[in-house]
Amino acid sequence: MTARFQLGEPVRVLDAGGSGHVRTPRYIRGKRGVVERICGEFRKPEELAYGRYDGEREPLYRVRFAQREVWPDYAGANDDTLDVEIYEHWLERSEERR
Amino acid sequence: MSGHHDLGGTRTHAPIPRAQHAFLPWEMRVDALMQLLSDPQRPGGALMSVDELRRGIESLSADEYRSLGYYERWLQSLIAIMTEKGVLDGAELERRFAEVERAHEREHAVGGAP
Repeated sequence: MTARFQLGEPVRVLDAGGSGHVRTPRYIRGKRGVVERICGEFRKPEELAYGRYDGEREPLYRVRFAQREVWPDYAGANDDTLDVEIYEHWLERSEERR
Repeated sequence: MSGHHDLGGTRTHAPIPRAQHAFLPWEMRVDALMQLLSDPQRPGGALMSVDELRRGIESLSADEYRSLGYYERWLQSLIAIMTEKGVLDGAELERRFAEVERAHEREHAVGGAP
């Protein structure tokens, strides 16, 4: 499976509800960041959690967010960042670069 | 799933204990049990995945989730997933718990045989 997003590409985390086991934490959904690295390809936690061990592998990205993007009332330094590892099916392209 | 386990970004005024503590022997056993059950090198393959462990923990009720300790949650999840897969039998487990309890009572009975 080819990685859909490139290094440095601006992405947005889907603001989806997600039922059952989900690895994308709620606080990061809907936030915009930049692909910091492509970690490799792994099976989906959403399938592994229900005993399906032979599903397709998909790219996992480390996405870098500005702390000020994640926490609107963030009081730390402007250039503080937060890295979160997110599976490809939770990401979409973002036009807006942060 | 209600998502009561997904606490990131939640406000709290309660103090957060940051000190590490030594693991108790039973906690290390629960950890070892999980390592063995999820080992792909295990004869017959892994019986469960870490993702199933997490799903089991997230399936605890909000009250259980809050009142149980870290490895107590693991243990509840291990039992639930292994029961789901037919590896453990609920009735057999109850019987074994009762046996262990009786043995413990005998050992600690006042004036009991050494």
